Amino acid sequence: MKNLLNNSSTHASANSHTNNSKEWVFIFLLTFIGLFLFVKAGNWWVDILFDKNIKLLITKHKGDIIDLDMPKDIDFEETLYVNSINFPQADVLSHKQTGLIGYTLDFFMSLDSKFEVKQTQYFEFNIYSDDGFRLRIDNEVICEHIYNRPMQLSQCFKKLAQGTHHLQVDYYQGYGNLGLTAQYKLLNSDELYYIGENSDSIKFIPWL
Amino acid sequence: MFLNRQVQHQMLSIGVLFIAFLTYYNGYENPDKLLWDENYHITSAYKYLNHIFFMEPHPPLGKLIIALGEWFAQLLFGINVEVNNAAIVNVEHIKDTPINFSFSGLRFFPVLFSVFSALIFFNIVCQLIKNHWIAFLFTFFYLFDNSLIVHSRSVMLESIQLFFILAAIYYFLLRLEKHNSAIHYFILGVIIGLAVAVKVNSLILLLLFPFLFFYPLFCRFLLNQKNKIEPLQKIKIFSLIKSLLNNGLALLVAIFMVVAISFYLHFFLGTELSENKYDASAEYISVIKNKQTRDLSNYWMMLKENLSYMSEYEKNVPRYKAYDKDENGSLAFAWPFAYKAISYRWDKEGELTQYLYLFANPLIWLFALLGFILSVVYLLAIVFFQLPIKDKKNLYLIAGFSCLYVSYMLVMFQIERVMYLYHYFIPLIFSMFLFFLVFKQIFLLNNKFNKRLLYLGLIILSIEIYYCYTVFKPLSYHQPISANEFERLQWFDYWDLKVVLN
Repeated sequence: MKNLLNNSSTHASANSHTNNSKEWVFIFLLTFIGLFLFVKAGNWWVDILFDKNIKLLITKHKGDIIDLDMPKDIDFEETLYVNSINFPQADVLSHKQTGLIGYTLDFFMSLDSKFEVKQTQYFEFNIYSDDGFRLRIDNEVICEHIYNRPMQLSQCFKKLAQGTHHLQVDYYQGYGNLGLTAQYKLLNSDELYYIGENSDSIKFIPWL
Repeated sequence: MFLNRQVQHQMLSIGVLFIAFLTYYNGYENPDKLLWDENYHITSAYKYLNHIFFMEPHPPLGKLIIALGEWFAQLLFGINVEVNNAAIVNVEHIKDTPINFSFSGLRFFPVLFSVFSALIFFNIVCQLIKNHWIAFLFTFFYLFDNSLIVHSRSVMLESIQLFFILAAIYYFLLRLEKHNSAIHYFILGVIIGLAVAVKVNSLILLLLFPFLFFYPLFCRFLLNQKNKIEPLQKIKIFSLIKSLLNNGLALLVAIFMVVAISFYLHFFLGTELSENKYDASAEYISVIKNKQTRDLSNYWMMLKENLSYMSEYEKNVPRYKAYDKDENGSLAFAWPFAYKAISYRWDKEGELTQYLYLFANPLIWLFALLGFILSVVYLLAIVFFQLPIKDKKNLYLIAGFSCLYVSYMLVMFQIERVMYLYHYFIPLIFSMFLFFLVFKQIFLLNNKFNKRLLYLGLIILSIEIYYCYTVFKPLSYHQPISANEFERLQWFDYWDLKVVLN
């Protein structure tokens, strides 16, 4: 209280040495905030870190979907690009790296990619899907399960010649949980890669 | 600089108005769909236009101003003249608007008031820190706050209320270092009365009176030219009490007069009965039926019933339900952290969704909260650690706005009914001013501060504020975004923003 009754003292000589430091602290704080905003609000890191190897066309269907081959009654469509076929099992469509996509039921997905095989070899493909799917390479059906099912594995094999190939995965979600992951490996290898991820044997060609 | 200070100030004022026009006014008529409480306020406005009697949980001035905007729009531009009024005036709130209904008249005055609030805000900050360039940058706190923008661009009361609150604060600052007679307190009372006549929580402004009245005493008590303490005995207590009562009475009379006139206008216009009698007494109904609502002899009876209705209405408002995942309300202690954002509406546009969210600019709210916290720390340091006082006026204003902030929040903590994030707008403004005052305390009171570094810092801050505004802009202007883009806006899980899925 005594201080309230006293005159305010001036500390000009001391302050002149500390003035710059206060401004620098302020700027440092703002720089830190700026970095936070840059990381949180920008999508730039997604573009830099992840190649857009898979073109994804999502078709929202009007009404219920019974199987993969039923005619599409299109409500609306959306095209996205992702780096891999990795949509984890959940009640809403999300991609493992890019995050929420936001579809829940009655939609189709068509995934499209081109890739180069470095050497003619046998490959194994492991597709987990809920609900149905179809895997085609160079327009040939490799494996499929076209009806509803919980998240289950379909395994198929294909000899791929050296050179460029065209991969397509068709998928649909009816209702309930959903999910789609597609991986590949060399037949005699243990190392699994998501379709879209490059390996020693396959290199995907980015769309963008 | 080659322009004198006055011209610089005028140019900056024009700049503030221009930016406010872009952020607040531009495209305000969209979306042309109802949001939040518009369904209540539009009904009230149309009741005024059709002279229908009704009672209201809020004082009438805000609704009268909204109705005035719609009246001008109908009269001058033929907007909404073909609307079926019966469908609107015979209900408590509409569920939807008629086809081709335009919101441009109804939202006009709330938006206009918010634009001019920016100008008052700028001038307040000029008064606080005495540097109009820095004040211009600090006005970004108002110009780019997403929550204030969303709420002000709608048929709501808060932007009109905030205009009068800012006007009261500005007048308070203009008079702070001057000799004030009863007429000055009367004028302050008129402005406060205008705010109270919009929403009752404006009564917090009553605290401006003691801070204005006791400032000269504070200065004398603290120190004088000869660095001596003026003995308390020299203060003429009776004279002080007499002046306090005179000036206090002038203020209260002014407030009462303004509120009374606004209610008289409400009675003046409410001359027809509808199906809803609002539990009015037989006497009141009889007065309406006999077209005697404009008769002053019935004024007190009608006022009493309206005030009673307001009180009963508040008691019946539900309480906050923490367990309800759809609850839009939030507790007062969470407001400084911008919780809880409210989804005013969303609309699907194919795979995209258009949202309108009451959502804060997180950077502005962070610095505002920091302003309050540092103010409290500063005041405690003065009292307990004998921190030297560099500027007594700055100390006084920090104490004043801190008192306003704390008092308002203490009142909010007592309220049992559910409250919403926009009830924090008033203390938010106080905390913004506290940040500016603390900034002045730290940097500007010493003449040896590094101007270049400081201005660089302020420009960086302004850019960051603007950047935050643009990031959350889609939620403020009903712009279409994907689920993925929406998910990226949820920087912290506690924000609890709800995405609309396909």
